Amino acid sequence: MKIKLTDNRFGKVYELEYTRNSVRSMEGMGFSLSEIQKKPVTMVPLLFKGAFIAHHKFVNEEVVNSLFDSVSDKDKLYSTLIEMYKEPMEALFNDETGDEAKNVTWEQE
Amino acid sequence: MGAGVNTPAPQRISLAKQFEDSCPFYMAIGMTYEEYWNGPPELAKYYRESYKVKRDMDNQKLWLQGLYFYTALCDVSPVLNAFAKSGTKPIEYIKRPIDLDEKHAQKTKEENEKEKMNAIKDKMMAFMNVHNDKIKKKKGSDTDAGD
Repeated sequence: MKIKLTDNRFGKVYELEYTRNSVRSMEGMGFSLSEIQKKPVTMVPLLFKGAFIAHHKFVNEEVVNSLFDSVSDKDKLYSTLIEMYKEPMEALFNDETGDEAKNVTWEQE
Repeated sequence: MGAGVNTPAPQRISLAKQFEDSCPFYMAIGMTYEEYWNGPPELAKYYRESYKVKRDMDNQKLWLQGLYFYTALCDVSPVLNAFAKSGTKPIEYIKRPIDLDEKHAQKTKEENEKEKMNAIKDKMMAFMNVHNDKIKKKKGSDTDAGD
């Protein structure tokens, strides 16, 4: 899963994605998905910044911060980024495919 | 004291460590280092699926090889019997490889049956020709005797 982020101010387009290397680098920077609710102020910007590692590694941190401040529909973006962040891990460890995944379902009562 | 008081806090799982641990396996099944670390994440899933397919194919090959060995042993078994009569010969080994394509196998089966039918037909024709010749000869000798 990728996100196309368009900066209309400067006419630039960024492709946001997490690879296993991004996840490894983000862990090195102190990011932890399990702590995102405890420390949102620290973790959310890191999550956003980490999405640039795969395709825009050398983008200036100030530019990333500016994009982070200006981006629209932040809540939806963060939840999408969280889903994207899980992808490298799920692709390795989640063996459920097709009908197998539908064999066990759950719902909230 | 509650049951969970002395339970140690769950250790934080390092994804980087898990990725590093899994890397050799994925490289062993054909994924490059670059693909593993910097490629699209879902690529690993397809490599894993393709590995399963390859493993199944290898298993099929080995099974088939076992079947050929078994067939060969069965064919030669009459000779291996210690109490076999002198002059016992092994059964001829299958002429063609076992057909794995179902449609093709059906076609081959039909062709074999047709061949058998043709052989029977040829024998019948040969028998009829011999019989007709005999009748002709008999008729000829009868007419000669009548003259």
